[in-house]
Amino acid sequence: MSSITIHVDHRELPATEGESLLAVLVSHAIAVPALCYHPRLPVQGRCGLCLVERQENGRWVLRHACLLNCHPELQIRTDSREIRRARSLAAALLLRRGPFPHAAVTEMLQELAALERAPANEQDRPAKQESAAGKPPQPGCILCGLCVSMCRSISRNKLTFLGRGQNLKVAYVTTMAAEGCGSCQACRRVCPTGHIVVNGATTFKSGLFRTVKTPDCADQ
Amino acid sequence: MTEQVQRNSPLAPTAAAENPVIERLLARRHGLNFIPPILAKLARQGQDLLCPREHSRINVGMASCGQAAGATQRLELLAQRSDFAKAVQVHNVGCIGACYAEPLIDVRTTGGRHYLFGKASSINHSAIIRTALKQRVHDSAWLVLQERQPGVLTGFEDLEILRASNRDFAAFFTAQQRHISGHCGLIDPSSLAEYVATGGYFALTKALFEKTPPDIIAEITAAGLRGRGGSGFPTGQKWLLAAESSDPIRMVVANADEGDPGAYMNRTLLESDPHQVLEGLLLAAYAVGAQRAYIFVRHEYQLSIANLRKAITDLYATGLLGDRILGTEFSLEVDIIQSGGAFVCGEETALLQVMQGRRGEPVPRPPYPAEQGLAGHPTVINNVETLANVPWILTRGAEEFRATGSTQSPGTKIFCLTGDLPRPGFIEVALGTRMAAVVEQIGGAAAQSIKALQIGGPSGGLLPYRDAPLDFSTLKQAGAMIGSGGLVVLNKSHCVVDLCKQLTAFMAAESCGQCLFCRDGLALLSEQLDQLSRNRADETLLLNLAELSRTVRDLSRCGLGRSAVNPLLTGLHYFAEEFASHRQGICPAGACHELIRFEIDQAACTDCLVCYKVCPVGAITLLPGRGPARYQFNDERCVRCHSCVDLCPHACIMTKPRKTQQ
Repeated sequence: MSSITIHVDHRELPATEGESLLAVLVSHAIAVPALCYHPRLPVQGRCGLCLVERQENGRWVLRHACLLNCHPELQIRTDSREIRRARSLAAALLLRRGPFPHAAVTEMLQELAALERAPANEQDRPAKQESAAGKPPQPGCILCGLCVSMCRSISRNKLTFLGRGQNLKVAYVTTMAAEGCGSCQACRRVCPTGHIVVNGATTFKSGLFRTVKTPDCADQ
Repeated sequence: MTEQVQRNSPLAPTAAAENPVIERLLARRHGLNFIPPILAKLARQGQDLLCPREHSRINVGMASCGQAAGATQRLELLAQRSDFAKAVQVHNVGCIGACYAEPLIDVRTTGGRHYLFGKASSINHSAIIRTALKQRVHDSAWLVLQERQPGVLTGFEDLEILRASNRDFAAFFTAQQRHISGHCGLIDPSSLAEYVATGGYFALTKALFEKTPPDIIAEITAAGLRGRGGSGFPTGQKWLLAAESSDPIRMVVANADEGDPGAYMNRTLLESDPHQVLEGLLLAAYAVGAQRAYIFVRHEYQLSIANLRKAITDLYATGLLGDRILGTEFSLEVDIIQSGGAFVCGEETALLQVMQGRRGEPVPRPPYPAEQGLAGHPTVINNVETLANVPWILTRGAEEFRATGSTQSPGTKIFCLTGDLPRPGFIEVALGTRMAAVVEQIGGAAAQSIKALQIGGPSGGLLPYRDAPLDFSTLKQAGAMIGSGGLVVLNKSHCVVDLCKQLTAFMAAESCGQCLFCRDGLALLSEQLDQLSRNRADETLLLNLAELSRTVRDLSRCGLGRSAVNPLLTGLHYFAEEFASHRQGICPAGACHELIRFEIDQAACTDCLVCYKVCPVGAITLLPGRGPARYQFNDERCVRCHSCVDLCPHACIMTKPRKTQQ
């Protein structure tokens, strides 16, 4: 782990080799929106907002800042039309998972979504919402994975991801033992959208295992 | 001429002819000076089974495709016969590849003649029996083949066609080059002896006794073998990465988690010739210095798993697996791991996560699994088909491997030909073969009926049909990829928008959900395509489609997410006018339900009432009177099941756009 310098927007920033670029940007107060970043937890790379461009073979290529590791010769820019456009797409996709209890999140996303939006697109907003037949299984959760990661890092391992595609959701692991989730509320504190109101156990009701007895068992 | 004589008279008994000494022949072919006694014994046993001197042998294709077509019943009927006791042996073999002709039965009579009967049923049952009993050689055999040297059968190359009663069937084989799948359908997959008799485990013996691991890696690198699982990464390079690692504990994984709809080459290989894959796995393990090997198979592939289990047990019993293989210093343990079968688990990093008991989610590379994989140890992950290439290369040498295929992509590739063509099947052709040779010669499709080819599964591309070579670089330029090798031929009745919608929906449902763009972006794309196919799209939709799909491609973490939009991007590129006409509310192919209506051609209609009777929802009503004019279509009620279109004896129900073109 050696100290290096990276180039961000024509500035030179000190960094540690192998460190996440987003951590460097955040520590230098460079404005990059991110919802799934927490300094104490492993990188998630799930919200799709922290987009920057990296120079690769003379071309600027979109990348997630949190997933980039710092190394010498890293050339980054944090603002361009493409970045704003991709961020607005990401924000529009995240808004489909709303409504969010934290008004600030909604505001931020709406602001981002409006950044590079063509005027014609404004008209199709209501149409899109109306056609969103498949509501996300957990409205208000952006599946950032912070709660799962937090629960794992404090060795409680009560939360997990379940399913895939549009059915992906966070689930609470019920065990045969009567112990609850512990009510440490660590997950609530890292939740960026305020989806976790009390604790993981009450918010993510759908368990990994079905505790309902099958009719056959009930007969016996 | 001899054929003529034999066809008309019962075959002269040729039982007296001795079979050539197979193990010496094989040792000469492999340049082996020393034959381990166990191999010599197995080879002789296998030869007696494969090329029996005194009786006939019947091979019934009992892979999944054969069983689905009813081969189990045919096998039972043949095996029960009391008159077969001494004269005929009945064996089950794998799939020869001609899936359209299943159940396929091969009768080998003494003297090395093979009679192939396709679509075996009660109709040609007696012909099969008579041929086997050599009472009368029947003309109904689709193909008659002769072993070049009677008593030596090491693959398809030892057979030559004597007579082809069914020309289509012969054409299916003549354009192919059966290297990797050369034993499929000829040998019993559960018999180690038969595999050894075709030259199996001689490459391993040669490698263990006469070559060092670096020699093998150098040979594979010189051959230019590229991964057959999708991305086409050079195999030699991958092995070298693991072999040069400082970690002494290394693993090899055979990836048989085949998820593409319409692709089944891994399944067929494992069902028909599991030993070849295992030999490749052993060689890979020896080359990189691994102590453990795993085979990662979908749990749906129960027959493959059963065959693999039997093969591995046999290998342990003969000392070809386990501690000190064939008395050398090399030891290896092999395990089978069954996956739950999510599409994403075929991606190598996700596969490793699953093997370690975690959620099947790809993790970022580097570090590559070949450097840090299973439990942090270097792990080489190769597709089953890549591994099956390895014994072939080590037997014949890199030069001969490079002789087929193109410079950039040498060798052969197995494709699964499906879709709208008369002869679908499991085929193997040299890389760089023209598409026309594959689709028209082997598949038997008429060129003018084909609209597009969908190559490489749902993450491949939709290409307009034209005569281009099938290899890694050409397809990459065209925006598609070989992928695992699914080749779906689509005729003019398929709508590109509808196809893109289906494929995108599949990928959206199979996304692991880690990346926002792959999970929600694909879902939004399939929603928008749905709107387009219902004529509810607005002006900006086409632009949005292209932009969003490019963003999904650029910002997804794993290869699956990046290639998930390939069908859509290639569709938008090559079939732009079809997307544009959907914008106008017209589906040129007449496949999008909400954009079409039906009309009766009054001139051709004979008032036969078939459409009226068949309509499941009563959308066709009759007015009083007689004649074509009394049919009324209720467009509101119609569910577009096309029953009336398919069943009308005079083809007078026409598909018309709902909206007239402005």
